[in-house]
Amino acid sequence: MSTLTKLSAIPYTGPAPTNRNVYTPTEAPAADARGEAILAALNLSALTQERGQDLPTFIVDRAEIINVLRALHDHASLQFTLPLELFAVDYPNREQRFDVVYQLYSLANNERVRLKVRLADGETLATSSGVYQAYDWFEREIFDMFGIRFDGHPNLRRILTHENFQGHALRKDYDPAQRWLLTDAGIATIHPKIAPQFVQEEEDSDFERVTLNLGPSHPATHGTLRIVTTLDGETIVGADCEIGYLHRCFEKMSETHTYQQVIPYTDRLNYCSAIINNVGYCMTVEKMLGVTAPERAQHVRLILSEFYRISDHIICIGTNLVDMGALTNFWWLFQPREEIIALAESCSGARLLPSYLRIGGLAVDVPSDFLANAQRIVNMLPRYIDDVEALVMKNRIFRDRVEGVGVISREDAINFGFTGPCLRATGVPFDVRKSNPYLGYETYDWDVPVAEGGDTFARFLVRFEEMRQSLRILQQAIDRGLPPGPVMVDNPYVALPPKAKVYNEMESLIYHFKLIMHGIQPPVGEAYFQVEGGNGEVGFYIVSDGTKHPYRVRARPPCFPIFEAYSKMITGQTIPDAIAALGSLNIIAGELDR
Amino acid sequence: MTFSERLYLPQVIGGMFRTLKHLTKNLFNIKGLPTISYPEVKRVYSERFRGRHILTSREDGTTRCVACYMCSTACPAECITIEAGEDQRTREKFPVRYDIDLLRCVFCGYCVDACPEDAIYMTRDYEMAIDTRARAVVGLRDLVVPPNFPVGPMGWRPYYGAIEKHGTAGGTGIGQPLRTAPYEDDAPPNPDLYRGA
Amino acid sequence: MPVQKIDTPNSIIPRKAGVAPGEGPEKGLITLPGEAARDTGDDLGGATYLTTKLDQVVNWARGNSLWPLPFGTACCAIEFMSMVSSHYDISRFGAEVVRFSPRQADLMIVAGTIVDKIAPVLKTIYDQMPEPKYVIAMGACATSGGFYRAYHVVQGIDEIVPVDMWVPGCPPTPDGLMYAILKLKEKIERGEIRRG
Repeated sequence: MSTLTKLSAIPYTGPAPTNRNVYTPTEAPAADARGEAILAALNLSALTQERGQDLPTFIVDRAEIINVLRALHDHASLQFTLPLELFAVDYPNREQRFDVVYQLYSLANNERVRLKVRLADGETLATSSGVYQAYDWFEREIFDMFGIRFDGHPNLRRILTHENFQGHALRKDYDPAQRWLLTDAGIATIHPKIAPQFVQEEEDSDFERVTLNLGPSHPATHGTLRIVTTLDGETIVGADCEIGYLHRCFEKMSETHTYQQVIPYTDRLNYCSAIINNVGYCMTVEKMLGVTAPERAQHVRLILSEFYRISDHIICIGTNLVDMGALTNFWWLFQPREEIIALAESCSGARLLPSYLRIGGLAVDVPSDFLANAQRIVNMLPRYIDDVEALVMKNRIFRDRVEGVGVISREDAINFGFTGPCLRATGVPFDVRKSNPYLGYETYDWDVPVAEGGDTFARFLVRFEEMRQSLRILQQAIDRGLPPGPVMVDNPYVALPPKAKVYNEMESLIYHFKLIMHGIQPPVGEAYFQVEGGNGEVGFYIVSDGTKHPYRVRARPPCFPIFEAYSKMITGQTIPDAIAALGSLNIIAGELDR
Repeated sequence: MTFSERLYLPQVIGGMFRTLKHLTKNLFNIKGLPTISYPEVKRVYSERFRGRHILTSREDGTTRCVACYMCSTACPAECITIEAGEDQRTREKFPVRYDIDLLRCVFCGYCVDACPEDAIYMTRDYEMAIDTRARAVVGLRDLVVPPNFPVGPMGWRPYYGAIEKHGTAGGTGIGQPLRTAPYEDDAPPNPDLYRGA
Repeated sequence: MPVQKIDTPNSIIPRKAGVAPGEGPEKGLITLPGEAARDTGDDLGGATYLTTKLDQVVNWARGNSLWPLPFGTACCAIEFMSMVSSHYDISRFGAEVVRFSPRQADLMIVAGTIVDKIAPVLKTIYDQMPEPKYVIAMGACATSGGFYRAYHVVQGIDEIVPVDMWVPGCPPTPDGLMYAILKLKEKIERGEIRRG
């Protein structure tokens, strides 16, 4: 048992000040109309439409969920083939206390749909991993966090927390600080399942099959991933991945903090591109509040997002090449990254995790030489990228190691819920910045890089080209200049008043106190908003109950489904191939485990 | 792959050339090297750098903090512990105890944003390594700086507007642009104030 | 104190000439507790002279060849990478040989959050390191759990392994970490940490 003292939430004993307004999204009429059309197209009795949501939303009967998912997946015109999300929300005061929420995306129609299943405690749900392979791990996570069982699931055990953990952490009645210690005896031994194509070969093989454990402390697994492989000679015939070595309880922590205080936590999801997470989170809350950040703030958000995307790709490419033994590129690439970080530091005061955004805008205006410095970085970056590209991309030693390695087919990638560069490397031009533009991405002239093949080399190509496209966006953004005006909305219920006013005016001082003590209180409801992160779609699903604490914050981790497919990608290949493939997927443990 | 790419050697030699080019270029341009020779040369972080905290003082030397608990409320890490006392003569609240656990602190700057009294700032001091955990909890003795504390080492401080009430001691002044260049008024802080208790 | 500006044409990063450690105002910072009472060894007799000098040589060697094992799990590991890469370049202090095998490392830098699931791994790796071994806890999460007062996060790695140097920051800057390594090095050279 742990001896940790309980220091979870900020002690506030007074009556909870609440916002009783109901959130009605601006997209609601369109979503309702589209929902009716989908309902008519499906012609299933198990669906009930929930109106007034930001996406077409349906409540599905517990017994019918598989049929509904299959119908949505196989429908000739709807084609909801990309599984984005599966998570649960706990409402302990309700008779059916759990909402299990599915979110699907249709690549053909560029639209999203949300399904909800209501469950009472102890009720089970049929597994949907047969329809969408991605939901295998998502269901395990729900089992781990909420204790909901899935009938027929092939491997229903804990995924994020450890084996000695008791209880289900994201239930509302779980104490956020209650720890359980893992002993050596508690660590489970993992026996990877042999892939079907290798089952018969065992007798024919000249080798005895051995199990090799990689990680979690291994230079190629970047500290927090564990891969157990079964080897036949040098060939991997079965692999199993274990995650949760960086499960920092982001979602539970969000529930015990105020909306503003969650921003530093979102920084630490994908810590290589922290600003993009900030943008996603802040824009979700802004959507609920019905405020829009001023133009100047949006412009800065876009510039910093693109810089951080480049930085994210730099880290991915640099470390991946180090894993393959090419150290020089790492030195060359980290120098421009240092300049990018210096730019963020001159705005926000922190290097890697800026916490620069606030709900409603930016913490503070950018320094006067911001654009000049940004231009200098944009000028210097291509030289570094060209250098690295010239070193490796035509070198046969490198090509032999990455071509045809870690292949995933387009169908599998979609079925596994891939997004971002890994999906684009299989030839699917899905980019949130194009499909659901935000921050004015639609006004810029840029292309979505797409590669064929789905192997490690294709992912390299996509990442290199994406850096160039980001530079294109940046050059246009710098040429347009920063729009004049404030960087924070003029709304005393969202933004802290200017300090000069706080010191001198009673009213501003009261607003200041009220905002710090009572926090931002979005109206009651739920919203989902997505941005394009370094690895794919970063989405935030927030449920507000009108108090200063979010009722539930769910972050969509793009790495999670990508790493899920990893064991499939490396089966039949060798360990060095597996290392090269792992680096190119850019698994960031912070958002994988949250 | 083209024929020359197939041959291994041309590309390998080409790569070697490129690396050598960088090497010779850097050999004749030692001053332009990106490496910062810490600790002889130090990187100048911006005026907004979020380093170690300080508590500012009024002109008469008393601390500006009025123990209103705003910073500890805004702190996501709950690393600030305050105990309020009352000055018997002036009837004013002041902190009897003000502890920051530097190890818990995530240097997000929310305490600075929350302070209504211009009392807590962050400095550009990042050299904070300590060898005992107990010394990481810094109290009033380490945090409070005298009124004439120089501007140079100061980092993240209220930027939402100009600081008018208390003059410009420690503030940026009205309309004064932010500097990112190295600071000239680099009077070093009193080491005694910085040393852990 | 006059500040010498250094022009950096290809970089937006300003820098200035500082002073060597122990020379300028940082002197107060680097001074370690017990320094005044430190035994300089001058008053020792001839019999112990050789062994004392040998100790000094050994400590000097140990301090100047700290081979780090980065136990990097999260954001701090990225800043550790920055410290190793060309801009900060830890190799100037003989600590560039990053070893991922605990058997070849002297200094474990725990960079990033340690959660309950990985805690036994950390303990195992610490046990596998040969003496003398030193541990730096880097960043808020490793030192104290930071703002993750949560159900799955170790509240400071001193629950599991002894720590020689604590580095506050979230994440600490690479120079902040370098400062910690220099401070540890100084401590080792003075013989204040004796292991093995």
